[in-house]
Amino acid sequence: MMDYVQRVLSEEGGSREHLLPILLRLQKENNYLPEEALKQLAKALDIRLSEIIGVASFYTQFRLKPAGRHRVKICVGTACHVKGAESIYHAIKKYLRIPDEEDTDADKLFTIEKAACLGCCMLAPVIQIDSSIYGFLNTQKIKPVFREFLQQDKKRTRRNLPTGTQERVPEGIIRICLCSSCQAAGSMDVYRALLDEIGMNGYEAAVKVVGCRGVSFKAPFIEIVTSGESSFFYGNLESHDVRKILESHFKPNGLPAKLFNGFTALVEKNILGQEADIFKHLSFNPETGPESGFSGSQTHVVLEGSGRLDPLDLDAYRKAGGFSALRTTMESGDPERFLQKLVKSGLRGRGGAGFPTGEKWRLLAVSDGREKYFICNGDEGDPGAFMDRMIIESFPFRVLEGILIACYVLKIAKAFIYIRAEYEQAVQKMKQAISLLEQNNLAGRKIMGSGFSLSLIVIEGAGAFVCGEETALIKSIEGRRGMPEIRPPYPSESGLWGKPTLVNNVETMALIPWIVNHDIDDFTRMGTEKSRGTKTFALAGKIKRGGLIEVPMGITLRQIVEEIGGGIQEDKKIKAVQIGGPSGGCLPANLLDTPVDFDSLEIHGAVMGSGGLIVLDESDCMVDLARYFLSFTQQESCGKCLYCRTGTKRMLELLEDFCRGEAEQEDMETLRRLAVSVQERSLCGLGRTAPNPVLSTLRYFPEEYEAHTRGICPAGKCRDLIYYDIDDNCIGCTRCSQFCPVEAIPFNPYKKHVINREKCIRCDTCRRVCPSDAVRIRGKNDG
Amino acid sequence: MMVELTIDGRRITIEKTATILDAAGKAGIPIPTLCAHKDLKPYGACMVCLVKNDTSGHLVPACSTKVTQGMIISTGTEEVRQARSESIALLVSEHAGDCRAPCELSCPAGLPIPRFLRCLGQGKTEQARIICENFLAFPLIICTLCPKPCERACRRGRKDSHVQITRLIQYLFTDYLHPLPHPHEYNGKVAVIGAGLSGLCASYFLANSGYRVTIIEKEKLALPSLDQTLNNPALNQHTAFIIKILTESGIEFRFESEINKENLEGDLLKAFDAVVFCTGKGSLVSLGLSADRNTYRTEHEDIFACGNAVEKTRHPARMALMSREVSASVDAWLKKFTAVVKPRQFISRLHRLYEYELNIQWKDADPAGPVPGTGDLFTVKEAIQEQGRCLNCDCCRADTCRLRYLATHYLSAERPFKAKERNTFERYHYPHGVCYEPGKCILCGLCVRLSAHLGFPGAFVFLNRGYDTIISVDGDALPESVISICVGNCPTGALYLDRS
Repeated sequence: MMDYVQRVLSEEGGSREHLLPILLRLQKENNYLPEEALKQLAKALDIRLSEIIGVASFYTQFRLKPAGRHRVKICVGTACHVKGAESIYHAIKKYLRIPDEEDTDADKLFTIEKAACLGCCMLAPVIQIDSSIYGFLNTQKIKPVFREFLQQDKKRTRRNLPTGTQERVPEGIIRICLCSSCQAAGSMDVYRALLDEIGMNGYEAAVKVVGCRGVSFKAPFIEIVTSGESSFFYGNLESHDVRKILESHFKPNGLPAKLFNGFTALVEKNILGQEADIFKHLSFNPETGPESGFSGSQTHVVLEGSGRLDPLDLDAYRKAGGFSALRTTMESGDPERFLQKLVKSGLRGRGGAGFPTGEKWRLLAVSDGREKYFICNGDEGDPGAFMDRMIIESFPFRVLEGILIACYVLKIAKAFIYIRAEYEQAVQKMKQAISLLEQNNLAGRKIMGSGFSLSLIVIEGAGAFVCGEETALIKSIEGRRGMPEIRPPYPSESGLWGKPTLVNNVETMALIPWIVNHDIDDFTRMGTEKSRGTKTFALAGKIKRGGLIEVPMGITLRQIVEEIGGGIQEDKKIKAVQIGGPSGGCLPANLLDTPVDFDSLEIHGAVMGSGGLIVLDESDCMVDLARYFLSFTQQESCGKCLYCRTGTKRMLELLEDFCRGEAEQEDMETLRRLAVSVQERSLCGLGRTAPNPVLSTLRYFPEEYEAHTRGICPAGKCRDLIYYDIDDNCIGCTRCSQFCPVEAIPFNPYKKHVINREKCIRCDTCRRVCPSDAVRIRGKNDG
Repeated sequence: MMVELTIDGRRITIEKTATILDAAGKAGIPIPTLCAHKDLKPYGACMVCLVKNDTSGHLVPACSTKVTQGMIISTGTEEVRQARSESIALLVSEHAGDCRAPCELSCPAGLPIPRFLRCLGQGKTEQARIICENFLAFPLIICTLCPKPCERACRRGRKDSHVQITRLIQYLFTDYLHPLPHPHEYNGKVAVIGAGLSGLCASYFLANSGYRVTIIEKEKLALPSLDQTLNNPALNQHTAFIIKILTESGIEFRFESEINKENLEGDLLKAFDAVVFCTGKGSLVSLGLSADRNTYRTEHEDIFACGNAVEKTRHPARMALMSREVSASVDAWLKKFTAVVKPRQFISRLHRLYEYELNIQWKDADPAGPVPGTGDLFTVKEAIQEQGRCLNCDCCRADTCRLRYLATHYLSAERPFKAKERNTFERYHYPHGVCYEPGKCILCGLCVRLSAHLGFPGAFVFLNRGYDTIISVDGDALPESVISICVGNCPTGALYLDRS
């Protein structure tokens, strides 16, 4: 054990500040933190064991008890929550036969846990097994998913994935995105099928892995670009669709393949009667087709070139104008002029609070002489937000270029990029991108032959939402518990290890190169007077088209929902838009014409937050939603200050009373009063914004709270106030019985099914799978 | 650089680096704190130090807000009080602990039972006796006559059998009464009417406070009603013993003398500085007087009343309490100071323990069943063994707890934020006898920060996160001095050194 710990220490760094990377490594390699290793570690680092355990127990990534071989994370983020994550959790528990109080199956193969958000909201509900993400789950898919995972697990140990580059000049290029979202939708299978087909038939096609277009509602999708022709898009693919699509675009190479293809086509056409008309429902055109609204109202700055660039192709990035901004900045040799431009651009931090970026940089520019640090904040932990992940996975160089510019201008020699450990692909991509930069003299010592040196370090966050707060983030990088500190002093004065530190969000950094490359007017033309430029949003919820979008600020919520999102699914009525995640608020349908900018949203009790945007329809309960968000922040509270720790707990208890129909009319006022106190008196942003979802729903939907005091949940969502019932429309198809995760519906073919109310967990699965609309939600008090 | 600011209308000049708390301290303006410490950086966790910044209109924590030039602060407004009270209510809502043990809460005289028992167990017999006498005057009589709610309330009873509190009192007080003081000069002369239980008790407390006491009884013996109703030779013997001690201590008994309006106004009120009626209600009414329940005073300023003259009770411990209070009231009157009316002390209670919680307390005590005792009276060894069964339910900082103090002063009877379910009771034992009860911990972080400040980071650490945060102690190579500082600074009874 000593040797093992020593080896880890020699690779990860052997001092106190490296505690978190060391622990993460131990966790990854052992699936938990073995006590013996921690003892050795304490000895080697010359600190107390209890200090290590104190740090480890703060972060959710660490386990002190042994775990199963694979870790199953069930996303309970906002989108997954509204799409039935709870039933998935129960179904998995049942499938793996895990007893109630435990989290690991008898074979010690799987350990299950709930995860705040896996950032794949359009594919909800999703789960992650080790590093594989599976989306669009339902209770029936659990078994095949686990089977497939175990099969793939065997394969993984045998073969490595082939890379998609080919030496011959290809006839065409097939672009595919392998970001976490698309992978969750199954893009890896499509990718494998593409490579297999191409290999088998010898198509002159190159498969190129590109950054995500953000069209999650079509994922997984491919774009085929053949010479001289325009692009063809195919979405919602499955691996068996690939062969047909390739056949129609490429000529097979070699006689056997030609013969085989000709034969199968003949068979299918004449014997099976399957015309190759799969394209009709698979193909789409994001520019001109019915889906064009999705991209039509968007303006891509951060996402410029999405869907075309290989995230890790440095040459391609350079050809597309990459690093010209850095060169311009370095060649001008006048950081002051750059700062002026930044201030004039009116850029505000995209992390949520919207502090003017130029002013923040100014503070660092002044405190010269001392060592300074830069931290790029990619600790995107809000349920329902996945912008930072997509940006890092798709445009790592753009983010890095922004960081390089910042560090050059402010004479900073060390920059940290803090990314949640849950975002494995983002961490890997960023690390690879940095090493590519280092190989090309764009990072490290004497960059581009100048006197400017910068070391770039990726730090993995170990699972604590509060670390998105800058002082907590700094503590976390120092290897301590991420508990926020009182500001002032601000990090710009005394930050990482007491040195001046600039903390900026990933998206802010990705905007910097564009601003350098363009006139100020180009930037200020977009957005509103006080909120310039564009903002990315993770659009999800009950809309037809969701995904990562980037819009000019000042666009109205209505435009986002209707033009980009394509309206509400199943043509239901929109009820509200939740913006800003757990720190944000719910804006009701009558405020849809609110422009999306920092200040307008604040007036209405919402915040931009980092940019989660979830659309809710009439079947969503606002009280339940407030309870959901508050339970998230309450769990993520670091526990330091009273109002955030205990105030949110008391608020949550009150909300739970509402959801159970046990609250009184005057509890609304108690709740509101406490919410205002928590907002005013919490130490950091987490606590100060935690009451927003509650306050905004109390403000716009008081009648829903009132209804709950009478034991009625108008949306039919709150478990304790409703029950499920099957009416005479039942055709006896048994689907509900098969899908029910808790066996509350006895299997009864051709007869009317009955729901056992005792067993039923009101997960809504039966209603969704019923083909004859026979499942009814009834109020507790109804007959 | 100095700045000038105004707190509650007073101008204060102080260094720019100071906090509002520093400035208020300099001016002698009290601001309550729980997580602040003069040697440590501001932490900003407990939010009881809220003050109003009239310049900005915000409520700010005084401990961590730096002073600025021209700042105007107010600390005494209703708004500030309300806000602090809200903080304290939240702290109390997550505070799971007993300030006082169930036995002492059930005792009408409020005898701190676990405390005197601990003295007994530690061999400090004399101290144990003094505690009991201070509350009960004649513990053996009171406790023998008492229906013993303490033993019914004893949590130990749920495990096997309650601690035998009365037998331990008998062990301590059979043939024993602490002699009363013999001052050279008395504080005054007091006549006590009635030699019943409350009369004797009141005389005892008054004599103890340095008064010359004369007891006037219409019957021919002390405790006349007891003698008739109880046939308890041991008790009668003890009564005789007590009368002897009291007489030797200078208390005068006048038997067979009745009080009427004439001799009261004629002789008694002239001869004595105060008269205390420890009779039935009738004699007071016949004199045209009535007594106030809270002050024990009557319409006549020199006449006081106690016992059944005030409130009909057959509970001996309740009489002991009233006797103690009337004696304090007389004392205050004769010394011409207004008795300070103490606000009702806040009491945090666990109420009924869950089985596993009870087991935690039980595990720390002697698991053996009740000591049968070889004779009527316990031997020293047996008494100590029986004391070992006490679960020590009371809080070791009940009288010094800063949270309790603030709750007493800031909380009204109605608590705004109650926990749906109280936190659970747990007790951890760490090296060097350090005990930790997370239920009482308010996470002020003083122990954590002080241990780091003293050069032992990691000795006291936070474990877990959010509402589940607790303290863990690593006692490895930790000097006693550091432990005593870290434990001693705990504002509540969460951290303490093992009491046994």
